[in-house]
Amino acid sequence: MNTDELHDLISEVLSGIAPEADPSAIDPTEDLRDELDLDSMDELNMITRVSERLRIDIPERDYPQMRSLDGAVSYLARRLATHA
Amino acid sequence: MDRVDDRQQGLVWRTCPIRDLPQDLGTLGLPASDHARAASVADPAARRRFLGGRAVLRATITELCPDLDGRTVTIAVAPTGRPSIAERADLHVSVSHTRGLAAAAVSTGGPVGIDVEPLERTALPPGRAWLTRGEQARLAAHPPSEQHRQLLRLWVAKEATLKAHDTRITRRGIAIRTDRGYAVEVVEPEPDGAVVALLRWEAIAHRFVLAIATLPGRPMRAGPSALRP
Ligand SMILES: CC(C)(COP(=O)(O)OP(=O)(O)OC[C@H]1O[C@@H](n2cnc3c(N)ncnc32)[C@H](O)[C@@H]1OP(=O)(O)O)[C@@H](O)C(=O)NCCC(=O)NCCS
Repeated sequence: MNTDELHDLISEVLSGIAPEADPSAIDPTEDLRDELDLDSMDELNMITRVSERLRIDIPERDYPQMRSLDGAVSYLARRLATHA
Repeated sequence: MDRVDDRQQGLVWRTCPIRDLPQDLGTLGLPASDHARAASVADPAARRRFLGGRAVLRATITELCPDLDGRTVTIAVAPTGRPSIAERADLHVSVSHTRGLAAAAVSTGGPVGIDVEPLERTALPPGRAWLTRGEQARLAAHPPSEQHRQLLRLWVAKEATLKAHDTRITRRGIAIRTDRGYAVEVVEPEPDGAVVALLRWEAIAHRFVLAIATLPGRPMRAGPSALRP
């Protein structure tokens, strides 16, 4: 999966968690919690759904790397590359 | 605002329905620093919740410490996000806000954490992502009609404990033991001994679940049983 596809996947997951928000309108470098008004339950929902879709385990210590859209894309790209 | 006054224990917590806030948030009497921070919150509803949290926190500080004017104290925020009161290092404070409710707890007797969620919130992360095996097993033993409420109780209990600890300890690392369905206790305390072990929660007007984490041996009176309709 390339970074564009990862971006789309995360955006799709985020749309399911915050239906009223528009992930395409956010600053991808900023904290998703502020950009989309997510709380910690939304955040964990996002991480577990992405992890299920990609069939990878995301350890809790890596959650901070998933805080922004860009951060999440590059973290997942790295994880998938080492997974392959 | 509803409140629980437990001055003897050095702990007071209050809740404030967001809909009770005035339409014009400028009339809340909050200092400019609160409004400045609120201005960085893009979403108007989130901004309202943030200011509701500040209002209930300041009111609770005044409640517990009559010698302190909660309306003017400086609320400092650590890089971790943990709030504290610049004028009073011995005061422990905690805030939570969710759709419909803001809540705050203030303690002179040690770390405190508060967390609230609406009962209507159904899309919780799967238990395996944040519950210990023991908790998952105990949860499964509840009748299906009770599971959602129990799950939410565990969630707020853990979040309150995390806030009291101010550490990004893993959720899986905190095991919560339920006792008679109402009190919960952390059974795997932090190795450094900074135990935050006693929690209580209360379903407020059957709409919210709230947990407070504080030091062991600090029994708290039951929380408010109802919000104004
Ligand atoms: C800090 C945390 C507990 C906040 O919970 P939340 O459900 O998102 O939001 P709440 O409304 O209940 O609480 C927000 C308040 O928590 C307080 N807070 C933030 N970080 C805190 C910390 N490290 N310690 C204590 N309190 C903290 C703040 O006062 C904040 O309110 P404010 O911004 O108005 O001042 C939560 O975001 C968190 O980090 N949990 C730890 C679990 C974890 O590691 N999650 C990672 C991915 S799921």
